[in-house]
Amino acid sequence: MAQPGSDQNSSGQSLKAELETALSLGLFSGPAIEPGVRQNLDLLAAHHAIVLAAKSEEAP
Amino acid sequence: MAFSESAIDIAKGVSSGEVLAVDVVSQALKEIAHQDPHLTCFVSVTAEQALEAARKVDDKRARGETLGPLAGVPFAVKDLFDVRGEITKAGAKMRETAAPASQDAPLVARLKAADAICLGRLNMDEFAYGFATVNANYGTTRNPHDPDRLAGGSSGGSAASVAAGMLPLTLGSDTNGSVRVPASLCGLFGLRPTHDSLPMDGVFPFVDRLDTIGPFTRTLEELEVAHWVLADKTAPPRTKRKLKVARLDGWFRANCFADTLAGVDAIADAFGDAPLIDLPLAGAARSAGFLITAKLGGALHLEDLKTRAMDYDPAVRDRLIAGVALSDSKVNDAEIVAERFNRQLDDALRQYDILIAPTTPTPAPKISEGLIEIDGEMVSARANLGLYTQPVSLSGLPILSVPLKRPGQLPLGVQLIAGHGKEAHLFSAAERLVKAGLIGSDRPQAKWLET
Repeated sequence: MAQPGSDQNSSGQSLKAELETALSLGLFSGPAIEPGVRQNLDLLAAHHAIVLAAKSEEAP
Repeated sequence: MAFSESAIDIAKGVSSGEVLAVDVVSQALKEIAHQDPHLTCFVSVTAEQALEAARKVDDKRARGETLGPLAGVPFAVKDLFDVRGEITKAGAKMRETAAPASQDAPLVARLKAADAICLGRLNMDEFAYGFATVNANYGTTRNPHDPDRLAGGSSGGSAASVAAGMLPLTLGSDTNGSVRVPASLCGLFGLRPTHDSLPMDGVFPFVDRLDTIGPFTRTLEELEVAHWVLADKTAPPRTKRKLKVARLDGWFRANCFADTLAGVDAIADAFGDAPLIDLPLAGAARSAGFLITAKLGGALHLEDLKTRAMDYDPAVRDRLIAGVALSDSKVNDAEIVAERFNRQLDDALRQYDILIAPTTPTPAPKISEGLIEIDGEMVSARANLGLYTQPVSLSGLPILSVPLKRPGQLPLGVQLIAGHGKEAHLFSAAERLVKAGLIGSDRPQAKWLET
């Protein structure tokens, strides 16, 4: 099973939606924050891809 | 307090009157003053309060009163436990203006009621979000076995201070591995007790459904005494039954340092028959834990993130914001996978008493690099040292990280996992391994210890 790295983006579409969520919540104080958040959202997207693949398999 | 003195020896000596608690505490304070500048374990040392408490213990004995099982034992707590009159900062500069705690957390109170003496507060990753104890506010805690290397986290100060011999007992917290990871990298016994078995009042939360607290010690005997004091229970007698043991395969053997796997296999041999079993969802469960932690951890900080995001440690802030933004549907997916994995674990523990797995994939990484290699890629140690601890954290099971005996080398830890409420099984299994000479804490070889 692939290990999510620190700078992968395996889910560009959903990432866009989540960035919009973060913006709507007022969680960005400025451009200084955005790269780090984006990097972490990429990481979460990679982890979700692994979860989704496991969930899609038949329940044990 | 000489390095070799354990909490057991100190309690015996103070209870019998051979030594004074005030002398034990004074010596521990000297050790802290000597060593902590090299290691950055403590965020505050409460010397006056500790000496006053020690005098009270000595007075109690002088009056002929029976002392508790931790009489005169110096301890310290991760900076997320309430101690009356002190500010619980949880590693965050932004909490330096918070009101001091009005009372001790119940677990701190239980240690004090056993006549242990609190010496201060210990460094951690801000708000416990990390496996490194790299803190932008209070510094990076260094590993006593090699100060150029990480102590692990998030309870790094708790582990490094005990490994260095500054004091025999500390408390940390473990959400995804924050006791077990630093215990492994610093060569200690570190326990994650059964989730919800200990009171968590007065402990600054991270992810309630995963948070536990646990002790660090250099010996199994000390750990057991501390655990039963914290649990407010009498230790049950050792089981006479032969424990059935299995090793976890697949996810838990991939990416693992060869010496750790050799240690796991040597432990298996000590039990005679410990087959390899696979839990196929372990990798996905680790990712599920990552997502659940991000979402729930972020949600706890939502209001502060909206109003004072720039006051956070940047590395923690960016993780928390990403977690807040994570959609509910993705977290629901993670919960489903976590539940399925927990069923796999439960099935395994219906057949076996103890499951064995490595604690960390590598020995302590270099601080200057902050990276570990996973699947051929260099990834953040801060986020990934919990590769093997995170999946099993979802279950709430009790887990003991034990140090492989390897004097003169960097420490490595192995997890022993038991069924809910079966801490006594962990202690029985570990005792057998201590007797076999396979596990035990080795003294660091750092030069400043000799001066």
